[in-house]
Order: sequence, then C-alpha cells, then structure tokens
Amino acid sequence: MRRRALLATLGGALVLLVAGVAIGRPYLTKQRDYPASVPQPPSVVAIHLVAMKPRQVICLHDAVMDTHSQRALFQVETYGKPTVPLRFTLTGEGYRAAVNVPASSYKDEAIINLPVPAATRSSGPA
Amino acid sequence: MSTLSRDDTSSHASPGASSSGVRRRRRPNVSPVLLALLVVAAIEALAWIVVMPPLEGPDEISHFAYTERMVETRSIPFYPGGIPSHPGHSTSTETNAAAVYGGILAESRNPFARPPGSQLSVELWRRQPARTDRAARADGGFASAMVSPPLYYAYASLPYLATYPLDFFDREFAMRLANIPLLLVLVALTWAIAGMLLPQRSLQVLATAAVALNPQLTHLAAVVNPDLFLATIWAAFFYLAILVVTRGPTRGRLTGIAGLTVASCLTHGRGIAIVVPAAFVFALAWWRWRRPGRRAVVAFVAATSAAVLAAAYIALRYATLGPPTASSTRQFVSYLWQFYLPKLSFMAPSFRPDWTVRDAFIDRFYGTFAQLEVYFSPGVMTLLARLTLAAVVLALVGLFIRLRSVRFRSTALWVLAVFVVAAVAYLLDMHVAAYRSLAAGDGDPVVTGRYLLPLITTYGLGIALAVSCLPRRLAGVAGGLVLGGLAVLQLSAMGIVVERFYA
Repeated sequence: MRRRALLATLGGALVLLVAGVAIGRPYLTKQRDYPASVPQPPSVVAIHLVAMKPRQVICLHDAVMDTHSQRALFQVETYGKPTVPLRFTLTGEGYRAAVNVPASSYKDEAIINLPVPAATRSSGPA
Repeated sequence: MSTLSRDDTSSHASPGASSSGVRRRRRPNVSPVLLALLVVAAIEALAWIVVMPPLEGPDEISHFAYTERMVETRSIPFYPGGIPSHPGHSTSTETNAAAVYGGILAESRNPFARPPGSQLSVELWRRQPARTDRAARADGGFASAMVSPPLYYAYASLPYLATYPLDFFDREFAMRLANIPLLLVLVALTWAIAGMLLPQRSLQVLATAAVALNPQLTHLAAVVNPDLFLATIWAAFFYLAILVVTRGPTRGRLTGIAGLTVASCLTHGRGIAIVVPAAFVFALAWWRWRRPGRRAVVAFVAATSAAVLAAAYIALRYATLGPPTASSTRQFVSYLWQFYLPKLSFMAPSFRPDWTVRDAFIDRFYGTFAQLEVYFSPGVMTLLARLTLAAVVLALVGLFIRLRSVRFRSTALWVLAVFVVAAVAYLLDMHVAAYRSLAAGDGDPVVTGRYLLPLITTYGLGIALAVSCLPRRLAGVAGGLVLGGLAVLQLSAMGIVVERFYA
C-alpha cells in the first residue's frame, strides 16, 4: 500500500517536473513588454489614414505615461514605399524625451519598439 | 461502483448506540487529506481572485449590477419576462465610472489592453465624484442577469453589505471572497460522495482532487457569478439523494432535497432541471421503502407517464416557439444529434454547425476564461479533447466493472440512475433553451462549458472510475500521473490568465 502511494506520488511529481521544464521554463523566461498604459487595438472595420508630408508632425494627446514606462510601441505603414527616418517625441509635465528612428531600423507595417527614459512621476490627461 | 462502502459501515454499526438513548457528542473526524485538498482549493481560489482584474469574469458586471441594485434600492430586480419597457442604464453611475477608470471597458475585447496599476490610475479614480456619492450606486437599470431568480444575489448582498462603507473595488473583492466557502463546501461534498461510492481511499482522493483542481471551477470561484452557487446546490443534492438511495429516507434528508430543489430553482433558470431528479428520488424512496400496493403502482406509472409526456410537449413547444409539429420535432432532434455527433447525410444543417460538444463542453469547459478571450491554444484543446474521450471510455469500463463486483447491485444501479436522470434533465434543459434562442434568430448558442459545473461531482467520479479500471499495479502510478496532469492544467490555466492581464 505504501509502495503504491509512493509510486503515485513519484508519478505526479514526474508530470509536474516535465511540465515545469517543457512549459514553465519557456513561460517564465520569455521576453515580454509589459504595457504600462492601454494600447490601441487594431481597427476592426476601417483605418483612418493620416497622410504625412516630409517634416510634418502628428500628435497624440492624452497619452498616459507612468514611472514604469520604458518603451514606446507604435505601428507605421508606408504602404509599400521605402521607409523614412522618423523622430519620436514625448512631452509631459516635467518630462521630455526624443528618439530618432533611422529608416533602416524598421519595416513597412512593423511595430516600432523604442526605448524611452522612464518618467520620474506619472503623467496623463488632466 | 460500490455503495455502502467505508463511510456506511460506521452508520450501520452504530444503531445500538443511538437506541440506548445516550447521545454522545462525536468529535468531528476530518481526514487530513481532505483538509489538504480544502487548503489547496482555498489557495487556488484566492490566487484566481487576485489575478482576475475587477469585473473581468463572464458577465460579471451584470451580476454585480444585480446585487448592487438589490441592496441599494431594497428591491428584488427580477424580470422573468425579459427586458422591461424602460430598462434604463444597465449599470449604476458608480459601476460605470469604475468600469471606465478600472480599465474594464478598455480591456473588454482588446487583448492588448492591461489593467491599470499605476498610482496615476488610482488618483484618476479617486477624483471621480461617483466614487463617494451614494446616489450614484442606486441609479442602475436593467442588466441582463436580472432575468435570473434572486437567491445567489441575496447571498452576494451579504459581503456587499458587510463592506458597504468601502470603495467599489473593495465591495467587489469581498463579493468574490464570499465564493470561497461555496467552493470548499463543494469540494467537501465531492469527498463525501466519492467516499460513499468508491471502494478505495486513493480513488476518493483522486475524485476530489479532480474537482478541486478543475480550472473552470476555480475561475468561477473568483468572479461574481451564480454558477458556483448553483454547482454547490447540485452537489449537496447529489449527496442527500445518494443517502436516501443507500440508507433510506429520513425527514431531514427529504426536507433537505426539497429545500435544495427550491434553492436551485431560485438561483437560475438552468436550476429548474433539478425538479426531475428530485421527483425521481422521492418516487424511488416511496417505491423502495413504502412498498406500495399494485393499484398504487399502476396509478403512479400512469401519472408519471402522463407527466413525462406533458413535460416533453411543453419543452418542445417552448424550444420550437410554437406547437410542436413533426417537422419542428425532427429539427430539434437533428440539432441534438449534430451537437454531439457528426451530421448524417439526410440531415439538414443545424442552426450553428460550428457550435458542437467539442466547442461547448471541451474548449469552453477546460480552457476559456475571463470574458472568453483567454483560452488555450487549439493544440492543447485537441489534446484535452482526446484525453477526455479516453477518460470517458475508461470510466464506462470502470463503472461496468464496479457494477459487476458490487455487493448491493440494485442499490448501486439506483444511484447510477439518479446521476443519469439528473444529467439528462440538466443537459436537455440547456438544449431546450439553446434551441429556442437559435430558432428565434438570436444566434446565441447558450450552451457553454461553465454551465456543466452542477455536474462537476460526476466529472470527479468519472476520472476516478477511469483510473480504477486499470490493473492494480498500474492504477497507483496512473492515479499519480493523472493528479499531476490535473495540477498542470490548473497551473497552465492560471498561467495564460496571468499572461493575458499582466505580461
């Protein structure tokens, strides 16, 4: 009886061990970005295009940034045309950061993932 | 299945003690294994409660709104007829503000969104006037949950009242915590049922562990929702029904069954199905212990046949939205067939050919969480479907072997009949509601995995029976492997929920 209980325990432990190595390890070591604010989901119906000329600026208001924000993610589509250099700027109360994005560092439709300095205090819509 | 096993011997051995008139207070003798399983279940539920963001459970906002309106307006907002003429806003101003500033609306169907966790988010919420305005709690209108009876919401109003002066999120958290006692009762009842029906302690442990480790059960224990409440009522019903069948009816047992039947009907529309197995148990008690005369039996059979025919007619009329015809009855039967089995060549396509037993009872039972946007990969679901099929076949073999070897075979068969009648009545109840919804063109297939929870004790017993049919030497190791697999399933489910909301 004791031997059977021991075998059962060993069987259960074996399953947990195998699952820990096969599932748990890659799950825990996977590189991830942890969103610090609510990302925009992809459009379900239609995308409203904002055509940009050279040196033109577009702004997104009411973005939230907190002290954990270390990366900025956004998508740029050139619709088959060659990629161009971009300048990404973040401005808030007591905070300003700018990152240059070389044309060679991204591809059409790719999500651009930029490092940005963490803010010393959170900022968002008033 | 061996009825009158370990637990029964104690009661059968002790009539002398009770007849002597000496009432000795018995020490509660709780097995350490059961205690360990209860601790595990409590920890799991607590972990799920913490991990699940507020109001992110299935229809949780609607269930919260029901309780909130019940407490704040001192009324029972039960609308069995459906949407009232002036439904108003489905949630109160306070709940709506919490949904906005708690990120619930942002997370809804946006798999990229995460719950707000910064100090800034907390400050934004604290600035909301609805947070402290009591009138903002009471202005909610009709929510979809309000078509259900109020018993669970009366229960949920207790933690709501206990935390009444506190913030929205504190009250919601307290309502979730109130599910833990329900889960523990359900696990303990499974232990008691398995103790009466299974011949070995190891199988009793396995059956109970299967229930305690079921991820859908712990998921539902972590959200404001009546499904766990209903499942606990059904588990208690099965426990009392087995006692009646194996040890005979007592006033307490029959009153308990009657009370649980009423409670189930007052908890959810699906709970009405309990009337069928309850009537079956009452009839069985009358038949087996009263030994009625021939005339009474003939009258009973005639009345039962008439009742079954009338119930079938009413169910069909309800499902098919009109008086049943040969064509509509055939369509309903075809829908039932195609839900469980592949379509035959002469059958017309069902309303929802994409919604079958695999989708509803495998994918949605084992691995669909939160607002249905968290699920295992198709490969994992297919593996679980195959393992389930294998377990069902093995469980049937195990059941057959038990029935052949059991000492009181007729009693065991009656116990089995209780489970079969209850499962068939419950599933048919769901399918009738589903067919009505599909026939009306709503497109909602109604049937889903978490609705199987009232039959969760059967799931635990089935897994134990599946292992029991293996040779003795293998059964021990197999039990351990199954237990390990169930633990992996629970941890993996928690893992995908954590990844969805926090990674």
